[in-house]
Amino acid sequence: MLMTQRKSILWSRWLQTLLATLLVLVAANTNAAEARIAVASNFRDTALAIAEQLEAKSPHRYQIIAGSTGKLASQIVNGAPFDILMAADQRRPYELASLGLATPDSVMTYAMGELGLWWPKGPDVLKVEKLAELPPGQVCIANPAFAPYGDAAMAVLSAKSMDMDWLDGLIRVDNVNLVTAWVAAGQAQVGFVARSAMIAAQRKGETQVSSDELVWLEDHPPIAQAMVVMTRAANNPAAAFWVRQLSMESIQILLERDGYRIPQVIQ
Amino acid sequence: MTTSDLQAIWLTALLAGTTTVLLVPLATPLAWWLVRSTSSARPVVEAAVALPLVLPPTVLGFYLLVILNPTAPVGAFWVSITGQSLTFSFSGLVLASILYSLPFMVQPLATAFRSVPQEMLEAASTLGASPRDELISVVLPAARRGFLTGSVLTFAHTVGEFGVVLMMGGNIPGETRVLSIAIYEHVETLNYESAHAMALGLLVFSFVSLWAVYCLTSQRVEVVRG
Repeated sequence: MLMTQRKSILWSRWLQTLLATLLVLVAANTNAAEARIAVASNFRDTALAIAEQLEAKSPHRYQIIAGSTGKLASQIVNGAPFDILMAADQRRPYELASLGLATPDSVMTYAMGELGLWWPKGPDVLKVEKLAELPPGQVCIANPAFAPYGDAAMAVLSAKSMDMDWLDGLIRVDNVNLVTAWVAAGQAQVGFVARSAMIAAQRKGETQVSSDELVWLEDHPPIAQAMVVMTRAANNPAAAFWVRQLSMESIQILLERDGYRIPQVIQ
Repeated sequence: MTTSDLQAIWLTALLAGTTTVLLVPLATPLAWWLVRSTSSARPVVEAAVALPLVLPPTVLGFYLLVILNPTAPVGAFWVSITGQSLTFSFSGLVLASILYSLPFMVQPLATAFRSVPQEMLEAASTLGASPRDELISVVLPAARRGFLTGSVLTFAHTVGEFGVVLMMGGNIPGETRVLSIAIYEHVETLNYESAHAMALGLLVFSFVSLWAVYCLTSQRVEVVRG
């Protein structure tokens, strides 16, 4: 009799533990979510580092998909299942919001990009005007049609009233990371590069740059990198967590380390 | 090789496998019809089937993007029944691959069907076989090498798909990031070591596939001669 009672107590304890474990698992599962973050190419490495940090302190999982801002936006218009777009401009996030694909009040500038001129074996004083002396096919920019850093580079060149024929001779590559790659490989003599791409390339040990080869341009139009949450992700806790955490100090340190300036007021 | 590269290899195999398995039942009646039909529509259908051989994959990808995106009627219909978009998804890639690899299955099958001796069919029909019986009991067993060749070519061709995926698949890990896209990304991000490993793997795989096809076809010639 005693044995049976003991057995039944053991059983009920075992069942209680099992139930409690199941409940914890279910609770953890309802909290855990996945989000697809589409990021401008120049932000790829930073986004991967952010994802690693956030995955370590939450049950959420993040997928990073990199491409030029314009291409990612056009993919979203055509049905790409992204939850957040971290663009390299403000235009595309607002456009997606106006199309009803993204939540308008979620548009937020998260970083300011910097554009520079990288000219190995260039003149002693690096100046944009001196580029006019180079033959065509020597200067590389990101394609202004879909890459905001290319757009900014084009604005700098237009402000110096470069000749139309000379502008036609620009090498246009798919994204701003490739500009660094092309100059590093000697495919182009000069490139309009992103500070973030130069830092990433140097960190990987692929590219050696001395300070006299590189000048940061003061007079380029601001490259305000904005993000937006897609309407499909309105109830995605992983996407909400990503947005909340971006203003945290640990992430801001990461952004500065990777060559971005923090916007004065996070809009 | 990273986990995401292994995922790309698995996804590519899954896409090529699904496409091949689905194409066999789709292409068999089509190839049979092309061989037997005397209809004036036959050259039109033949040309349409062969189109992916000459059409730039970006053209096919562009039209699929236009037709299948969630705001177009076909795309919207798919979203309404499955809740998912056909563009930038695995299902969309399967559909695209079926179209893209269609001639690689239909043409070897048609060739195999054509080489079935007429006397065999006549004998079967004298013995009272219906055209359907002829297809199932005579032609299909005789054309088994055609099925093998078609399957190997379809699988290998789908593995090599790039332009179509770039246009309507994007680069989503576990969904549309197939081998060729992963290689492209490695080159873009200056990851030449990984690009080399995957590119060499594809090169060897493609060679072995074609070698298998030529072994299969040369054996068939011997059988016919014998």
